[in-house]
Amino acid sequence: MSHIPFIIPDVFSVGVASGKIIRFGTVLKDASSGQIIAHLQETGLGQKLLSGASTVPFSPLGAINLASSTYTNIQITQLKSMVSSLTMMNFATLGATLTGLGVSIVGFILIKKKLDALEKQIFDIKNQLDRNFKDIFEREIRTHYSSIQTLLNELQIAHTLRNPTNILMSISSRLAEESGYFKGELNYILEQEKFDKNIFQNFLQAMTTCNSVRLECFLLANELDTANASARQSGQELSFFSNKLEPNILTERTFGSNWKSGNVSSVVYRAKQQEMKNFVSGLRDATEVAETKPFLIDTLIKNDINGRDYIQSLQDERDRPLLILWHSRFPCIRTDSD
Amino acid sequence: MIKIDDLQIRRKILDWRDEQVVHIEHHIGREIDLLLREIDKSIDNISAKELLYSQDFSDNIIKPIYEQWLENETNILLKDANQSLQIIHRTFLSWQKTETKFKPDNPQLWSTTDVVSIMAAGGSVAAGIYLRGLAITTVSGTGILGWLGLGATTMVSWPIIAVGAITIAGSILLGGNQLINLRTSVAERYKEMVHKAIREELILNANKPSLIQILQSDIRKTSDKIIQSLGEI
Repeated sequence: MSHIPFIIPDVFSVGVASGKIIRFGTVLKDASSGQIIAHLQETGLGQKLLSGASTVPFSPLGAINLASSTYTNIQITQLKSMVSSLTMMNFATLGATLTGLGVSIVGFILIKKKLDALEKQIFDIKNQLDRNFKDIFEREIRTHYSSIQTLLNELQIAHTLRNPTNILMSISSRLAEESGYFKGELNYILEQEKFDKNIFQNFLQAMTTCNSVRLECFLLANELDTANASARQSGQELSFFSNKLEPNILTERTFGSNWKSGNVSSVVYRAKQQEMKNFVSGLRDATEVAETKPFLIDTLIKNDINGRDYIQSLQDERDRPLLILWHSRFPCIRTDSD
Repeated sequence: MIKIDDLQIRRKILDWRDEQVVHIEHHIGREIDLLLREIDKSIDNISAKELLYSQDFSDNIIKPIYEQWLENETNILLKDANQSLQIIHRTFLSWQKTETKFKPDNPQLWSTTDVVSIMAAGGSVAAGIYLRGLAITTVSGTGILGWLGLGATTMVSWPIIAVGAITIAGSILLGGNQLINLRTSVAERYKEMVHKAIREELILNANKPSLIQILQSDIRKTSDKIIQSLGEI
Protein backbone atom coordinates (compact mmCIF):
# COMPACT_ATOMS: atom_id res chain seq x y z
CA MET A 1 0.00 0.00 0.00
CA SER A 2 1.42 3.32 -1.08
CA HIS A 3 1.69 6.18 1.35
CA ILE A 4 2.19 8.69 -1.47
CA PRO A 5 -0.86 10.98 -1.56
CA PHE A 6 -1.94 10.36 -5.14
CA ILE A 7 -5.37 11.11 -6.51
CA ILE A 8 -6.95 10.26 -9.85
CA PRO A 9 -7.04 12.80 -12.74
CA ASP A 10 -10.87 12.67 -12.99
CA VAL A 11 -11.03 14.85 -9.88
CA PHE A 12 -9.94 17.75 -12.07
CA SER A 13 -12.04 17.02 -15.15
CA VAL A 14 -14.67 19.68 -14.44
CA GLY A 15 -12.09 22.31 -13.49
CA VAL A 16 -10.00 21.70 -16.60
CA ALA A 17 -13.05 21.63 -18.88
CA SER A 18 -14.34 24.92 -17.48
CA GLY A 19 -10.94 26.57 -17.78
CA LYS A 20 -10.67 27.19 -14.04
CA ILE A 21 -7.71 24.85 -13.96
CA ILE A 22 -4.96 25.11 -16.56
CA ARG A 23 -2.50 22.38 -17.41
CA PHE A 24 0.98 23.39 -18.43
CA GLY A 25 3.47 20.56 -18.92
CA THR A 26 2.66 18.28 -16.00
CA VAL A 27 1.56 21.08 -13.72
CA LEU A 28 -2.07 21.87 -12.96
CA LYS A 29 -2.59 25.45 -11.85
CA ASP A 30 -5.46 27.60 -10.75
CA ALA A 31 -6.37 29.89 -13.64
CA SER A 32 -7.37 32.83 -11.46
CA SER A 33 -4.63 32.77 -8.83
CA GLY A 34 -1.89 31.23 -10.96
CA GLN A 35 -0.99 28.93 -8.06
CA ILE A 36 0.18 25.39 -8.74
CA ILE A 37 -2.41 22.89 -7.54
CA ALA A 38 -1.07 19.51 -8.50
CA HIS A 39 1.29 17.47 -10.70
CA LEU A 40 0.42 14.93 -13.34
CA GLN A 41 2.38 11.70 -13.13
CA GLU A 42 2.27 8.60 -15.30
CA THR A 43 2.62 5.21 -13.68
CA GLY A 44 4.64 2.24 -14.87
CA LEU A 45 1.43 0.92 -16.40
CA GLY A 46 0.90 4.15 -18.34
CA GLN A 47 4.42 4.14 -19.69
CA LYS A 48 4.11 0.53 -20.84
CA LEU A 49 0.81 1.23 -22.57
CA LEU A 50 2.10 4.26 -24.41
CA SER A 51 5.43 2.78 -25.38
CA GLY A 52 3.53 -0.04 -27.03
CA ALA A 53 1.12 2.33 -28.70
CA SER A 54 3.60 4.46 -30.53
CA THR A 55 7.33 4.88 -30.89
CA VAL A 56 6.91 8.30 -32.38
CA PRO A 57 6.22 10.91 -29.70
CA PHE A 58 5.60 13.67 -32.22
CA SER A 59 2.34 12.40 -33.63
CA PRO A 60 -1.08 13.68 -32.60
CA LEU A 61 -2.78 11.97 -29.69
CA GLY A 62 -5.39 10.61 -32.07
CA ALA A 63 -2.68 8.58 -33.80
CA ILE A 64 -2.74 5.97 -31.04
CA ASN A 65 -4.17 2.81 -32.48
CA LEU A 66 -6.67 1.70 -29.89
CA ALA A 67 -7.71 -1.27 -31.98
CA SER A 68 -4.21 -2.69 -32.23
CA SER A 69 -4.07 -6.46 -31.98
CA THR A 70 -0.96 -6.22 -29.81
CA TYR A 71 -3.13 -5.40 -26.81
CA THR A 72 -5.30 -7.60 -24.65
CA ASN A 73 -8.85 -6.46 -23.95
CA ILE A 74 -7.85 -5.25 -20.50
CA GLN A 75 -4.94 -3.27 -21.94
CA ILE A 76 -7.18 -1.70 -24.56
CA THR A 77 -9.55 -0.56 -21.81
CA GLN A 78 -6.61 0.85 -19.84
CA LEU A 79 -5.18 2.55 -22.91
CA LYS A 80 -8.57 4.07 -23.72
CA SER A 81 -8.73 5.38 -20.19
CA MET A 82 -5.26 6.89 -20.54
CA VAL A 83 -6.03 8.50 -23.89
CA SER A 84 -9.24 9.86 -22.41
CA SER A 85 -7.34 11.31 -19.43
CA LEU A 86 -4.72 12.88 -21.71
CA THR A 87 -7.45 14.37 -23.88
CA MET A 88 -9.22 15.69 -20.81
CA MET A 89 -5.95 17.33 -19.77
CA ASN A 90 -5.75 19.04 -23.18
CA PHE A 91 -2.77 17.16 -24.55
CA ALA A 92 -2.79 17.36 -28.34
CA THR A 93 0.29 15.34 -29.22
CA LEU A 94 2.24 12.42 -27.84
CA GLY A 95 5.17 14.78 -27.32
CA ALA A 96 4.91 14.47 -23.56
CA THR A 97 5.77 10.80 -23.83
CA LEU A 98 9.22 11.73 -25.10
CA THR A 99 10.37 12.60 -21.61
CA GLY A 100 7.64 10.86 -19.64
CA LEU A 101 4.83 12.56 -17.79
CA GLY A 102 6.24 13.41 -14.43
CA VAL A 103 9.40 11.61 -13.49
CA SER A 104 10.34 8.61 -15.56
CA ILE A 105 9.52 5.29 -13.95
CA VAL A 106 9.71 3.39 -17.12
CA GLY A 107 11.83 0.56 -15.77
CA PHE A 108 15.15 -0.30 -17.29
CA ILE A 109 13.97 -3.33 -19.22
CA LEU A 110 11.44 -1.21 -21.08
CA ILE A 111 14.06 1.44 -21.76
CA LYS A 112 16.36 -1.20 -23.18
CA LYS A 113 13.62 -2.26 -25.57
CA LYS A 114 13.09 1.35 -26.55
CA LEU A 115 16.79 1.80 -27.23
CA ASP A 116 16.90 -1.38 -29.29
CA ALA A 117 14.11 0.03 -31.42
CA LEU A 118 15.91 3.34 -31.78
CA GLU A 119 19.15 1.66 -32.77
CA LYS A 120 17.38 -0.48 -35.35
CA GLN A 121 15.62 2.58 -36.70
CA ILE A 122 18.81 4.58 -37.06
CA PHE A 123 20.51 1.79 -39.00
CA ASP A 124 17.52 1.66 -41.30
CA ILE A 125 17.87 5.38 -41.88
CA LYS A 126 21.60 5.16 -42.53
CA ASN A 127 20.99 3.56 -45.91
CA GLN A 128 19.70 6.90 -47.10
CA LEU A 129 22.89 8.67 -46.13
CA ASP A 130 26.05 9.43 -48.00
CA ARG A 131 29.15 7.33 -47.62
CA ASN A 132 30.98 9.54 -45.12
CA PHE A 133 28.06 9.76 -42.79
CA LYS A 134 27.52 6.00 -43.02
CA ASP A 135 31.08 5.45 -41.80
CA ILE A 136 30.46 7.69 -38.81
CA PHE A 137 27.36 5.72 -38.04
CA GLU A 138 29.16 2.40 -38.17
CA ARG A 139 31.97 3.53 -35.94
CA GLU A 140 30.34 5.84 -33.47
CA ILE A 141 26.63 5.37 -33.15
CA ARG A 142 26.86 1.66 -32.49
CA THR A 143 29.44 2.32 -29.80
CA HIS A 144 27.23 4.81 -28.04
CA TYR A 145 24.11 2.71 -28.20
CA SER A 146 25.97 -0.29 -26.87
CA SER A 147 27.48 1.83 -24.11
CA ILE A 148 24.01 2.90 -22.99
CA GLN A 149 22.84 -0.69 -23.09
CA THR A 150 25.77 -1.68 -20.88
CA LEU A 151 24.88 1.02 -18.40
CA LEU A 152 21.30 -0.19 -18.31
CA ASN A 153 22.52 -3.71 -17.59
CA GLU A 154 24.56 -2.37 -14.72
CA LEU A 155 21.52 -0.56 -13.43
CA GLN A 156 19.51 -3.74 -13.32
CA ILE A 157 22.17 -5.26 -11.13
CA ALA A 158 22.36 -2.12 -9.02
CA HIS A 159 18.69 -2.64 -8.20
CA THR A 160 19.59 -5.77 -6.28
CA LEU A 161 22.23 -4.04 -4.15
CA ARG A 162 21.41 -3.15 -0.58
CA ASN A 163 23.07 0.23 -0.98
CA PRO A 164 23.14 1.13 -4.66
CA THR A 165 23.74 4.87 -4.22
CA ASN A 166 27.35 4.97 -5.39
CA ILE A 167 26.80 2.87 -8.46
CA LEU A 168 23.63 4.79 -9.33
CA MET A 169 25.56 8.06 -9.15
CA SER A 170 28.40 6.66 -11.22
CA ILE A 171 26.07 5.34 -13.91
CA SER A 172 24.16 8.61 -14.05
CA SER A 173 27.42 10.42 -14.64
CA ARG A 174 28.27 8.14 -17.56
CA LEU A 175 24.77 8.57 -18.93
CA ALA A 176 25.36 12.32 -18.85
CA GLU A 177 28.30 11.75 -21.20
CA GLU A 178 26.13 9.72 -23.55
CA SER A 179 23.42 12.33 -23.43
CA GLY A 180 26.07 14.95 -24.17
CA TYR A 181 27.21 13.01 -27.20
CA PHE A 182 23.71 12.97 -28.70
CA LYS A 183 23.22 16.60 -27.81
CA GLY A 184 26.39 17.43 -29.74
CA GLU A 185 25.15 15.44 -32.72
CA LEU A 186 21.81 17.24 -32.61
CA ASN A 187 23.62 20.56 -32.73
CA TYR A 188 25.70 19.30 -35.62
CA ILE A 189 22.56 18.29 -37.53
CA LEU A 190 21.14 21.76 -37.05
CA GLU A 191 24.27 23.32 -38.52
CA GLN A 192 23.91 21.32 -41.73
CA GLU A 193 22.34 22.85 -44.79
CA LYS A 194 19.87 20.02 -45.16
CA PHE A 195 17.69 18.87 -42.28
CA ASP A 196 16.90 15.20 -41.76
CA LYS A 197 13.96 14.94 -39.40
CA ASN A 198 14.24 11.18 -38.87
CA ILE A 199 17.82 11.29 -37.69
CA PHE A 200 17.18 14.36 -35.56
CA GLN A 201 14.17 12.68 -33.97
CA ASN A 202 16.10 9.51 -33.29
CA PHE A 203 19.00 11.31 -31.61
CA LEU A 204 16.58 13.46 -29.65
CA GLN A 205 14.88 10.35 -28.31
CA ALA A 206 18.26 8.85 -27.41
CA MET A 207 19.28 12.02 -25.56
CA THR A 208 16.03 12.31 -23.64
CA THR A 209 16.11 8.61 -22.77
CA CYS A 210 19.56 9.04 -21.22
CA ASN A 211 18.33 12.08 -19.29
CA SER A 212 15.21 10.28 -18.08
CA VAL A 213 17.23 7.33 -16.82
CA ARG A 214 19.65 9.71 -15.11
CA LEU A 215 16.78 11.35 -13.31
CA GLU A 216 15.45 7.98 -12.26
CA CYS A 217 18.90 7.09 -10.91
CA PHE A 218 18.96 10.21 -8.75
CA LEU A 219 15.48 9.50 -7.43
CA LEU A 220 16.35 5.89 -6.68
CA ALA A 221 19.39 7.16 -4.81
CA ASN A 222 17.05 9.64 -3.09
CA GLU A 223 19.34 12.49 -4.15
CA LEU A 224 16.42 14.82 -4.73
CA ASP A 225 18.34 18.09 -4.94
CA THR A 226 20.57 16.59 -7.61
CA ALA A 227 17.50 15.16 -9.32
CA ASN A 228 16.02 18.64 -9.33
CA ALA A 229 19.15 20.17 -10.85
CA SER A 230 19.33 17.39 -13.42
CA ALA A 231 15.67 17.85 -14.37
CA ARG A 232 16.22 21.58 -14.83
CA GLN A 233 19.22 20.94 -17.02
CA SER A 234 17.31 18.46 -19.18
CA GLY A 235 14.51 20.98 -19.53
CA GLN A 236 16.94 23.67 -20.63
CA GLU A 237 18.50 21.35 -23.19
CA LEU A 238 15.15 20.57 -24.75
CA SER A 239 14.15 24.21 -24.51
CA PHE A 240 17.18 25.17 -26.58
CA PHE A 241 16.05 22.94 -29.44
CA SER A 242 12.43 23.88 -28.95
CA ASN A 243 13.26 27.58 -29.37
CA LYS A 244 15.60 27.06 -32.25
CA LEU A 245 13.47 24.80 -34.40
CA GLU A 246 10.97 26.58 -36.57
CA PRO A 247 8.62 24.61 -38.84
CA ASN A 248 9.12 26.98 -41.75
CA ILE A 249 12.90 26.86 -41.71
CA LEU A 250 12.87 23.07 -41.25
CA THR A 251 10.58 22.75 -44.26
CA GLU A 252 12.86 24.84 -46.44
CA ARG A 253 15.90 22.92 -45.29
CA THR A 254 14.22 19.58 -45.87
CA PHE A 255 13.66 20.51 -49.50
CA GLY A 256 17.13 22.02 -49.77
CA SER A 257 17.95 23.41 -53.18
CA ASN A 258 14.68 22.07 -54.62
CA TRP A 259 12.85 24.78 -52.71
CA LYS A 260 14.75 27.49 -54.54
CA SER A 261 11.95 27.52 -57.07
CA GLY A 262 10.14 29.50 -54.40
CA ASN A 263 6.91 27.62 -54.83
CA VAL A 264 5.66 28.12 -51.31
CA SER A 265 2.07 27.43 -52.28
CA SER A 266 2.57 23.94 -53.67
CA VAL A 267 0.69 21.06 -52.10
CA VAL A 268 3.90 19.14 -51.42
CA TYR A 269 5.49 22.12 -49.71
CA ARG A 270 2.43 22.77 -47.55
CA ALA A 271 2.21 19.10 -46.55
CA LYS A 272 5.83 19.13 -45.43
CA GLN A 273 5.21 22.35 -43.56
CA GLN A 274 2.35 20.71 -41.66
CA GLU A 275 4.52 17.70 -40.87
CA MET A 276 7.21 19.97 -39.44
CA LYS A 277 4.60 21.91 -37.50
CA ASN A 278 3.43 18.69 -35.82
CA PHE A 279 7.01 17.73 -35.11
CA VAL A 280 7.88 21.07 -33.49
CA SER A 281 4.60 21.11 -31.59
CA GLY A 282 5.37 17.65 -30.17
CA LEU A 283 8.85 18.78 -29.21
CA ARG A 284 7.45 21.84 -27.44
CA ASP A 285 4.98 19.67 -25.54
CA ALA A 286 7.89 17.49 -24.47
CA THR A 287 9.84 20.58 -23.45
CA GLU A 288 6.97 21.82 -21.29
CA VAL A 289 6.80 18.47 -19.58
CA ALA A 290 10.56 18.40 -19.02
CA GLU A 291 10.60 21.95 -17.71
CA THR A 292 7.85 21.31 -15.18
CA LYS A 293 9.54 18.24 -13.65
CA PRO A 294 11.55 20.37 -11.19
CA PHE A 295 8.23 21.60 -9.72
CA LEU A 296 7.24 17.99 -9.06
CA ILE A 297 10.59 17.12 -7.49
CA ASP A 298 10.32 20.24 -5.38
CA THR A 299 7.02 18.89 -4.09
CA LEU A 300 8.66 15.58 -3.21
CA ILE A 301 11.32 17.46 -1.26
CA LYS A 302 8.83 19.67 0.57
CA ASN A 303 6.64 16.71 1.48
CA ASP A 304 9.62 14.64 2.53
CA ILE A 305 8.76 11.88 0.07
CA ASN A 306 11.57 9.40 -0.49
CA GLY A 307 12.53 9.21 -4.18
CA ARG A 308 12.88 5.43 -4.16
CA ASP A 309 9.46 5.00 -2.53
CA TYR A 310 7.94 7.37 -5.06
CA ILE A 311 9.26 5.36 -7.99
CA GLN A 312 8.32 2.07 -6.38
CA SER A 313 4.75 3.16 -5.77
CA LEU A 314 4.37 4.20 -9.40
CA GLN A 315 5.83 0.93 -10.62
CA ASP A 316 3.50 -1.00 -8.35
CA GLU A 317 0.37 0.74 -9.66
CA ARG A 318 -1.61 -1.88 -11.59
CA ASP A 319 -4.89 -0.14 -12.43
CA ARG A 320 -4.29 3.49 -13.31
CA PRO A 321 -2.00 4.75 -16.03
CA LEU A 322 -2.07 8.34 -14.75
CA LEU A 323 -2.13 9.74 -11.25
CA ILE A 324 -1.96 13.16 -9.70
CA LEU A 325 0.13 14.38 -6.80
CA TRP A 326 -1.05 17.40 -4.85
CA HIS A 327 1.32 20.31 -4.74
CA SER A 328 2.85 20.87 -1.31
CA ARG A 329 0.57 23.64 -0.14
CA PHE A 330 -2.62 21.70 -0.77
CA PRO A 331 -4.20 19.09 1.51
CA CYS A 332 -3.43 15.48 0.73
CA ILE A 333 -6.32 13.26 -0.29
CA ARG A 334 -5.75 9.56 -0.63
CA THR A 335 -7.16 7.44 -3.40
CA ASP A 336 -9.27 4.37 -2.74
CA SER A 337 -6.30 2.15 -3.45
CA ASP A 338 -4.11 3.73 -0.78
CA MET B 1 13.00 29.04 -9.17
CA ILE B 2 11.68 29.15 -12.71
CA LYS B 3 8.44 31.03 -13.08
CA ILE B 4 5.88 28.82 -14.66
CA ASP B 5 4.15 31.85 -16.21
CA ASP B 6 7.37 32.69 -18.04
CA LEU B 7 7.44 29.20 -19.50
CA GLN B 8 3.85 29.53 -20.64
CA ILE B 9 4.41 32.92 -22.22
CA ARG B 10 7.48 31.67 -24.02
CA ARG B 11 5.51 28.79 -25.52
CA LYS B 12 2.80 31.15 -26.67
CA ILE B 13 5.32 33.52 -28.21
CA LEU B 14 7.14 30.70 -30.01
CA ASP B 15 3.87 29.38 -31.39
CA TRP B 16 2.92 32.94 -32.39
CA ARG B 17 6.25 33.35 -34.20
CA ASP B 18 5.86 30.11 -36.13
CA GLU B 19 2.25 30.81 -36.99
CA GLN B 20 2.97 34.32 -38.26
CA VAL B 21 6.03 33.26 -40.25
CA VAL B 22 3.95 30.63 -42.06
CA HIS B 23 1.00 33.02 -42.40
CA ILE B 24 3.17 35.66 -44.10
CA GLU B 25 4.43 33.11 -46.60
CA HIS B 26 0.97 31.72 -47.32
CA HIS B 27 -0.63 35.14 -47.56
CA ILE B 28 1.92 36.62 -49.95
CA GLY B 29 2.04 33.36 -51.93
CA ARG B 30 -1.72 33.54 -52.38
CA GLU B 31 -2.21 37.27 -52.88
CA ILE B 32 0.60 37.66 -55.38
CA ASP B 33 -1.62 35.92 -57.91
CA LEU B 34 -4.19 38.70 -57.63
CA LEU B 35 -1.51 41.32 -58.10
CA LEU B 36 -0.12 39.61 -61.18
CA ARG B 37 -3.59 39.21 -62.64
CA GLU B 38 -4.25 42.91 -62.24
CA ILE B 39 -0.94 43.81 -63.82
CA ASP B 40 -1.61 41.38 -66.65
CA LYS B 41 -4.87 43.15 -67.35
CA SER B 42 -2.99 46.44 -67.74
CA ILE B 43 -0.44 44.86 -70.02
CA ASP B 44 -3.23 43.32 -72.12
CA ASN B 45 -4.41 46.84 -72.85
CA ILE B 46 -0.97 48.12 -73.71
CA SER B 47 -0.67 49.78 -77.10
CA ALA B 48 2.11 49.10 -79.55
CA LYS B 49 3.37 52.60 -78.95
CA GLU B 50 3.50 52.05 -75.20
CA LEU B 51 5.55 48.95 -75.80
CA LEU B 52 8.19 51.17 -77.26
CA TYR B 53 8.29 53.09 -74.00
CA SER B 54 7.91 50.27 -71.54
CA GLN B 55 9.85 52.14 -68.86
CA ASP B 56 7.22 54.86 -68.82
CA PHE B 57 4.48 52.25 -68.81
CA SER B 58 5.93 50.45 -65.80
CA ASP B 59 6.51 53.71 -63.94
CA ASN B 60 3.06 55.13 -64.61
CA ILE B 61 0.86 52.04 -64.68
CA ILE B 62 2.47 48.98 -63.09
CA LYS B 63 4.40 50.62 -60.28
CA PRO B 64 1.34 52.29 -58.68
CA ILE B 65 -0.57 48.99 -58.77
CA TYR B 66 2.38 47.20 -57.20
CA GLU B 67 2.94 49.80 -54.50
CA GLN B 68 -0.72 49.93 -53.55
CA TRP B 69 -0.80 46.16 -53.30
CA LEU B 70 2.42 46.14 -51.25
CA GLU B 71 1.04 48.68 -48.81
CA ASN B 72 -2.29 46.88 -48.45
CA GLU B 73 -0.85 43.43 -47.91
CA THR B 74 1.91 44.55 -45.56
CA ASN B 75 -0.73 46.41 -43.62
CA ILE B 76 -2.93 43.33 -43.34
CA LEU B 77 -0.06 41.09 -42.27
CA LEU B 78 1.26 43.37 -39.58
CA LYS B 79 -2.22 43.99 -38.30
CA ASP B 80 -2.78 40.23 -38.03
CA ALA B 81 0.54 39.77 -36.22
CA ASN B 82 -0.22 42.66 -33.91
CA GLN B 83 -3.70 41.42 -33.03
CA SER B 84 -2.60 37.91 -32.15
CA LEU B 85 0.26 39.28 -30.07
CA GLN B 86 -2.16 41.46 -28.18
CA ILE B 87 -4.25 38.40 -27.33
CA ILE B 88 -1.18 36.88 -25.68
CA HIS B 89 -0.53 40.16 -23.91
CA ARG B 90 -4.10 40.27 -22.59
CA THR B 91 -3.78 36.70 -21.32
CA PHE B 92 -0.63 37.72 -19.56
CA LEU B 93 -2.23 40.80 -18.06
CA SER B 94 -4.98 38.63 -16.64
CA TRP B 95 -2.34 36.59 -14.82
CA GLN B 96 -0.78 39.78 -13.54
CA LYS B 97 -3.87 40.48 -11.48
CA THR B 98 -2.60 38.28 -8.72
CA GLU B 99 1.12 38.74 -8.94
CA THR B 100 3.72 40.86 -10.68
CA LYS B 101 5.04 38.49 -13.28
CA PHE B 102 7.29 40.59 -15.45
CA LYS B 103 10.75 41.33 -14.27
CA PRO B 104 10.81 44.83 -12.88
CA ASP B 105 14.40 45.30 -14.01
CA ASN B 106 13.43 44.82 -17.63
CA PRO B 107 9.99 46.25 -18.07
CA GLN B 108 10.51 48.23 -21.25
CA LEU B 109 9.30 45.53 -23.61
CA TRP B 110 5.86 45.65 -22.16
CA SER B 111 5.60 49.34 -21.67
CA THR B 112 2.95 51.00 -23.75
CA THR B 113 4.71 54.34 -23.75
CA ASP B 114 8.41 53.79 -24.02
CA VAL B 115 8.53 52.90 -27.69
CA VAL B 116 11.55 55.03 -28.40
CA SER B 117 13.85 53.11 -26.11
CA ILE B 118 12.88 49.75 -27.51
CA MET B 119 13.31 50.99 -31.05
CA ALA B 120 16.64 52.51 -30.16
CA ALA B 121 17.66 49.22 -28.61
CA GLY B 122 17.09 47.52 -31.92
CA GLY B 123 13.59 46.35 -31.25
CA SER B 124 11.68 45.24 -34.25
CA VAL B 125 9.07 47.27 -36.00
CA ALA B 126 6.36 44.80 -35.20
CA ALA B 127 7.28 45.12 -31.53
CA GLY B 128 7.14 48.87 -31.89
CA ILE B 129 3.68 48.71 -33.34
CA TYR B 130 2.58 46.32 -30.69
CA LEU B 131 4.08 48.39 -27.93
CA ARG B 132 2.49 51.55 -29.16
CA GLY B 133 -0.86 49.87 -28.77
CA LEU B 134 -1.73 51.40 -32.10
CA ALA B 135 -3.88 50.00 -34.78
CA ILE B 136 -1.57 49.69 -37.74
CA THR B 137 -3.95 51.73 -39.86
CA THR B 138 -3.12 54.84 -37.87
CA VAL B 139 0.41 54.91 -39.26
CA SER B 140 0.46 57.91 -41.51
CA GLY B 141 2.84 60.16 -43.41
CA THR B 142 4.96 58.05 -45.70
CA GLY B 143 2.62 55.14 -45.08
CA ILE B 144 3.43 51.77 -43.60
CA LEU B 145 6.14 50.99 -46.16
CA GLY B 146 8.06 54.13 -45.39
CA TRP B 147 7.59 53.61 -41.69
CA LEU B 148 8.88 50.06 -41.96
CA GLY B 149 11.71 51.10 -44.22
CA LEU B 150 10.35 48.79 -46.89
CA GLY B 151 10.05 51.40 -49.60
CA ALA B 152 13.58 51.02 -50.89
CA THR B 153 14.08 47.37 -50.12
CA THR B 154 11.09 46.20 -52.09
CA MET B 155 11.61 48.46 -55.08
CA VAL B 156 11.31 46.37 -58.20
CA SER B 157 13.75 46.95 -61.04
CA TRP B 158 11.08 47.02 -63.70
CA PRO B 159 12.05 45.15 -66.83
CA ILE B 160 12.34 46.96 -70.10
CA ILE B 161 11.23 45.37 -73.33
CA ALA B 162 14.02 45.14 -75.82
CA VAL B 163 12.33 43.92 -78.98
CA GLY B 164 13.95 46.49 -81.12
CA ALA B 165 12.38 49.83 -81.84
CA ILE B 166 12.82 49.41 -85.58
CA THR B 167 10.88 46.16 -85.58
CA ILE B 168 7.96 47.72 -83.74
CA ALA B 169 8.08 50.91 -85.72
CA GLY B 170 8.09 48.85 -88.92
CA SER B 171 5.13 46.85 -87.70
CA ILE B 172 3.22 50.01 -86.85
CA LEU B 173 3.70 51.11 -90.41
CA LEU B 174 2.56 47.76 -91.72
CA GLY B 175 -0.43 47.64 -89.37
CA GLY B 176 -3.06 44.87 -89.40
CA ASN B 177 -2.50 41.34 -88.14
CA GLN B 178 1.24 41.59 -88.19
CA LEU B 179 1.13 44.42 -85.71
CA ILE B 180 -1.43 42.66 -83.50
CA ASN B 181 0.61 39.46 -83.43
CA LEU B 182 3.79 41.27 -82.59
CA ARG B 183 2.11 43.34 -79.89
CA THR B 184 0.60 40.20 -78.34
CA SER B 185 3.81 38.22 -78.31
CA VAL B 186 5.82 41.12 -76.93
CA ALA B 187 3.17 41.78 -74.28
CA GLU B 188 3.26 38.13 -73.22
CA ARG B 189 7.03 38.29 -72.94
CA TYR B 190 6.74 41.50 -70.98
CA LYS B 191 4.26 39.86 -68.60
CA GLU B 192 6.68 37.03 -67.95
CA MET B 193 9.47 39.49 -67.21
CA VAL B 194 7.29 41.49 -64.85
CA HIS B 195 6.09 38.33 -63.08
CA LYS B 196 9.64 37.17 -62.58
CA ALA B 197 10.75 40.57 -61.26
CA ILE B 198 7.85 40.76 -58.81
CA ARG B 199 8.23 37.19 -57.60
CA GLU B 200 11.91 37.79 -56.97
CA GLU B 201 11.14 40.90 -55.01
CA LEU B 202 8.37 39.42 -52.92
CA ILE B 203 9.17 35.74 -52.51
CA LEU B 204 12.74 34.83 -53.21
CA ASN B 205 15.66 36.98 -54.20
CA ALA B 206 19.19 35.71 -54.59
CA ASN B 207 20.79 39.09 -53.94
CA LYS B 208 18.76 40.65 -51.16
CA PRO B 209 15.97 39.78 -48.74
CA SER B 210 12.52 39.47 -50.27
CA LEU B 211 9.40 41.02 -48.76
CA ILE B 212 8.50 37.67 -47.16
CA GLN B 213 11.95 37.40 -45.61
CA ILE B 214 11.89 40.99 -44.34
CA LEU B 215 8.53 40.56 -42.65
CA GLN B 216 9.46 37.15 -41.24
CA SER B 217 12.66 38.60 -39.87
CA ASP B 218 10.64 41.29 -38.06
CA ILE B 219 8.45 38.65 -36.49
CA ARG B 220 11.49 36.69 -35.33
CA LYS B 221 13.14 39.77 -33.85
CA THR B 222 9.98 40.59 -31.96
CA SER B 223 9.73 37.06 -30.63
CA ASP B 224 13.40 37.06 -29.58
CA LYS B 225 13.00 40.37 -27.79
CA ILE B 226 9.99 39.24 -25.81
CA ILE B 227 11.56 35.92 -24.89
CA GLN B 228 14.73 37.68 -23.79
CA SER B 229 12.65 39.95 -21.59
CA LEU B 230 11.35 36.90 -19.77
CA GLY B 231 14.85 36.41 -18.44
CA GLU B 232 16.88 33.25 -18.30
CA ILE B 233 14.48 30.36 -18.14
